[in-house]
Amino acid sequence: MSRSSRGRLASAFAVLALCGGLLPACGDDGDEEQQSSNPTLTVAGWGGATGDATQQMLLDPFAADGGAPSRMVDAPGTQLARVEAQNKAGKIEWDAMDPAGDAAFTLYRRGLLAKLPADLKAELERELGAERVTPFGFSHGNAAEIIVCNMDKMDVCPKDIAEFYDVERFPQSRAFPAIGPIQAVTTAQVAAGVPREETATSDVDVDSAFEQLDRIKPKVRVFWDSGDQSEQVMRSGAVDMSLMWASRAYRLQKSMNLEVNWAGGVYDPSYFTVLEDAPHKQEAFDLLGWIASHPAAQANWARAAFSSVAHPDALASLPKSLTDQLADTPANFEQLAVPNFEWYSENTRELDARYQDFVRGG
Amino acid sequence: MPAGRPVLANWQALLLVAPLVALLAGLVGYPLVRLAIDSLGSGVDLGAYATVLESSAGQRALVVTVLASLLVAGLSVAIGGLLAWYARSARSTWVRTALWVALLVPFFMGTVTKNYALVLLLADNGPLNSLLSALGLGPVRLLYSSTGVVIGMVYSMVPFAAFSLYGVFLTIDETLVEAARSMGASRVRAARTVTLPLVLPGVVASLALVFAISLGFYVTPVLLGGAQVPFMGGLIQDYIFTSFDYELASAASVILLVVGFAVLAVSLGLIGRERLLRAVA
Repeated sequence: MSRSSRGRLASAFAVLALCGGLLPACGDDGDEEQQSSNPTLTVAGWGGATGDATQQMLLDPFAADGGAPSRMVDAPGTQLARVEAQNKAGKIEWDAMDPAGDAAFTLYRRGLLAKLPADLKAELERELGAERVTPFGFSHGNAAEIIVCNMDKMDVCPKDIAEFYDVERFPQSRAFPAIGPIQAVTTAQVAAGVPREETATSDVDVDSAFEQLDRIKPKVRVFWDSGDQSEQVMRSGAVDMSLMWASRAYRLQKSMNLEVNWAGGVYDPSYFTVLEDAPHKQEAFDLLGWIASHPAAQANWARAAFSSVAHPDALASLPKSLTDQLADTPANFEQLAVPNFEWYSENTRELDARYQDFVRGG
Repeated sequence: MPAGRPVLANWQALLLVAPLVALLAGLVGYPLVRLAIDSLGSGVDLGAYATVLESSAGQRALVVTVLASLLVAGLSVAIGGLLAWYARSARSTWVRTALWVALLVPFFMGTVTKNYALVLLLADNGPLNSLLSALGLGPVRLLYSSTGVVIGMVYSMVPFAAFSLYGVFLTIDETLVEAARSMGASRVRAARTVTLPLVLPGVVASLALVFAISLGFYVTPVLLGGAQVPFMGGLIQDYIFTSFDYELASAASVILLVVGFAVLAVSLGLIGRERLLRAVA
């Protein structure tokens, strides 16, 4: 090959390489068109078994009943950040989601969740009871963080949250959530003497709550970051007791000698919501109305997801062995403290920063 | 063709590297510049840096990350160096094969798999503590502690150290050592005066490489340490996914980058640019 032909070949290759590198950046302009012609709802959820249950027990039956088809996307614990990111990018991609209470109230305060139409809100309140309905959605997939003790390592388990915070009487090692500052602070409020019936409506005395938290910190061996880790620390014998999600505790109880106490634990609801700038807002509102008015579907979801639902008829149709373990069962709910999510949504950054310093700081 | 004559004209060479430069500028340069800009916030000030560095969580995460990374770099280079030296020197094919398998298995294992295996091994009721207890030495708190995190990170980083040092060791001319011995130098003196100066740039380069990678660890500290052993990676994750505060996340990332670059600068100063480049080339 002559030098000139080699040079031409090299030039051609260079031009091709340049085009190859640049062209992908220009592509994919059909997405918007496809979206507007496709009525499929995008619902963000918790993934795993919960996400599967939502797809199979709620979204698919809704579509079969004439509603819009839906697909789940997994966003466990990251709904707030991802909606904020979509909003910042100027393109909301999700229609509905079921974020945890702290994220839901914060997103609503920031104008990112849609206010329920008056007729839908009235319908939801009729079906579920007013206490389960907020201006932006209804509670669904409700959990609780409760006291769990490894009775192979302890003789007596704290019977309530005040005893859980009593490190003189119970000096054993603990696991405590690193996530959910308002839930953690709510347990500290109860330990500080705030009646559990008042936590949902009273402002948080942050200094008093952190005094309580500082008391137990020397006994907290592990701050768990995920439900999976909360199980692992108990299973591995790293700690003697924990404040952990009830569903995880009961699953663990099948293979370990655990005592579970609900008294003074904290209610940890999620909410089915519609995004303010959802691409298919009306269809998403229809989905919420359908779920709320179909207790049988909610009951199927509760069985599959091993989590609590709002509709009284759904709860009533579940076996006692399951309802004994759910946060909305009256006997359990009456022992739980409910966080003041409204207060949290006004003080998110301050509380998050202080809790982060508490968990990760010196 | 005459030696030294370029195959391509300058403009052709430039055209050929243009896609790479464009990719680097777009995928590396732009995000880094954007990161620095985002960290200044809308007020274009250093408030986010002050917030990160003044917070108890930020201070502790930075100290833990840097100290653990230094320790991991030292241990990984020591262990990886020994393995690489034996892999180079061993005469038995079996020994060499076993060494390479030992190095490659952790290298190819998935991060989560590798760390969960360590969770089981290091648990209070795990096999390692059972063995230590049987020997009267335990149980020792390994999991959910800084010790567990360092063990996990070293397990991941030894192959990086070994691979980079193996290449350096291959370049050592053994006849130089033999010449020193023949002239009366002891084994130790020959190693100190001949081998060590030859491998030192490679060792420093390897230390810098392992340290820089270790600074960015996220999964291992979360799984083996928990939130009470904070790393900058976990803190940045918190800023993004819990607080959705890109300004703080960007500032924390830039701080981490600066620390990484500072270590590279110190490495350059210690060894000299030419020797370092020769070691990593």
